[in-house]
Amino acid sequence: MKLKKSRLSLATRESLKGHIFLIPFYIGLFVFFAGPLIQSIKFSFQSVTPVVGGYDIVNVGLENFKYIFGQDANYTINLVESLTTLAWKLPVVLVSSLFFAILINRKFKGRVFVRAVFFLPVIIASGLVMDVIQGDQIAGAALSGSSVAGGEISQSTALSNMLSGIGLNDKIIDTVTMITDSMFSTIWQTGIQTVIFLAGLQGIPSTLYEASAVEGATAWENFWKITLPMILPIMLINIVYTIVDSLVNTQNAVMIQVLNNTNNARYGWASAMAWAYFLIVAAILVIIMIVFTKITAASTGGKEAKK
Amino acid sequence: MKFFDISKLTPKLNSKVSPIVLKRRSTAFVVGIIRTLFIIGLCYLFLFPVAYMIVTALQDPAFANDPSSIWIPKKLSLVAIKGAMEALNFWPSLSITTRISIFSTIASLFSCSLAGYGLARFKMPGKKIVMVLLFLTILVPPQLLLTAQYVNFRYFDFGGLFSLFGFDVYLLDTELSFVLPAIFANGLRGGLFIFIFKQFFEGLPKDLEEAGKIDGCGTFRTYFSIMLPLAVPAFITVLLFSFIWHWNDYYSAAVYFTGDVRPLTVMLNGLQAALEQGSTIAGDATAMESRMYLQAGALLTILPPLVIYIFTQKYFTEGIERTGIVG
Repeated sequence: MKLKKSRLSLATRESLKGHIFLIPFYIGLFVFFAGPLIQSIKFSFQSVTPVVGGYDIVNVGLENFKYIFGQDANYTINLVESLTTLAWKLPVVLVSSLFFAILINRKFKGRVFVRAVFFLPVIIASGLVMDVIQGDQIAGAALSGSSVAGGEISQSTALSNMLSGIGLNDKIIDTVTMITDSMFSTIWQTGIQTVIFLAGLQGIPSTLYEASAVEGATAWENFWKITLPMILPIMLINIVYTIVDSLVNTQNAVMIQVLNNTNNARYGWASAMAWAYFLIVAAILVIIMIVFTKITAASTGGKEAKK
Repeated sequence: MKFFDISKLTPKLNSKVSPIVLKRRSTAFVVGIIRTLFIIGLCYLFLFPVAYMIVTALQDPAFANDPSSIWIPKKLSLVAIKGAMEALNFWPSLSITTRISIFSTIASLFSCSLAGYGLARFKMPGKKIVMVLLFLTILVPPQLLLTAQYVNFRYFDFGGLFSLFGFDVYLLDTELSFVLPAIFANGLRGGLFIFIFKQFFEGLPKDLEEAGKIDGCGTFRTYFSIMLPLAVPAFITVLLFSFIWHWNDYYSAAVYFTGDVRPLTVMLNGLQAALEQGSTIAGDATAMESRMYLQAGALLTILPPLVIYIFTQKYFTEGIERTGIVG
């Protein structure tokens, strides 16, 4: 034993031990991640037809992509819809979850209960149950004309009437009413983000607030000069989480189409659709990350300059 | 002289509260009221659908169209629950969902904590590459892999290993399609769990391990008998999240399960789709009644995680804050 050990240097032994801990992960990475990933890249350039006992695979080059963008009637529409939904949902989710987190970050009576209620969306986060809840309220109002859920519908009608009274064009009105209509489900999608923001808020050292209290700063100033700069890195985590989560959302039109194509054994189209969508979203994600790191760098640079 | 100057500047020195403090206090009071109103309003927003779901599901279908029987059901009955149970094929579905959630969670806890510890404590050349790959597994949505994974699982080969020995394994429609990736730390959101464990282990002091080393404790024994007991908060957090996420997962389940017995979420979606197309579940039920069945189905689907949450919410909220999920 002693001889064996002395042959390897301390550093090599250390790294070897580390790799042993990671062996399951490595196997999984190859079999369940890299494998399918490469396979699905291949599929997007192939026509895959299931036959008994296997698959008939023909290379078709860019045919799948030409098909989904050129001939498929729904894909482009679904793609645009998914991206616009993401574009307005992201800021709404971020702002409201930060607001919720700040709201419950203080000590007050019944905090434990309120916190438990605010994290309820984490449990019932499955979009499916949300569909049921939301669909029911609209259907319920339409069916029975009950006042419980009827408010929602009449409200957005009133809003659209008001907006058209001002003289805005239809597109803006549609967008605004669409946002207000899905406000309920959007707020229900803030569970994890609130949790992450809350953890971030509790990580801010209280000495900063004590110092600002001595200087006589208001809560408003505290928010813009302490809370927000300190929470920026966590904001980035939440942006990434929200975007990744939107890809898994059951209401995501593109992903529903991918699922339908997979279940109907059109693997080539399904892969091409998923890849085209993911590459667009990934590009957006990279741009956001670059911009964000610059903002964060600027805000911390500013702080150092003040010192 | 100076003393008098000061008293002139603050003429109400003898009164108990100065106007500045008074102003501050009144502002704080108003802000407090607004905050309380917001909290109450949001609690309503979060509790309302759940309460509505429970009440609707437990109401007697005879009163389904009665607008006066919305909040306090005039007659309780289990008719809707029973109907939904039938439509969901409840017990087999519940069994498969439970098996997926429990086994995958146990497997994830084991493999992800190992990987997290390996990344947190050992100096390795190429650790950066592993980290990049880890982030890739977090970022790439499962949908991208599912199509290939489905084909993979249909004729499962474990990278060509099984066909060498002449195996033919059919993994679809079994919980193995979830558990097997979880055993190898690549299950549902496995990357995120590895990351949580890594952050947690990095936050623990190294002294204990060094003490163990001096006393002649091997690396793996150190891990199992010293580090694991310390990592209980991280384990609880990952356990709860993994269980809930596996339970709620719809997309992977819809791809992997196409047979008769399917997880609850997939069955619920089928129920909803059937209702949207206008067909009713229970023969001559009205649209209003079938909506009750849908609510009952949704309630049945979320009831187990909801009950677990009610009993563990303390660990949930505190665990997340303590494990430093944020890094």
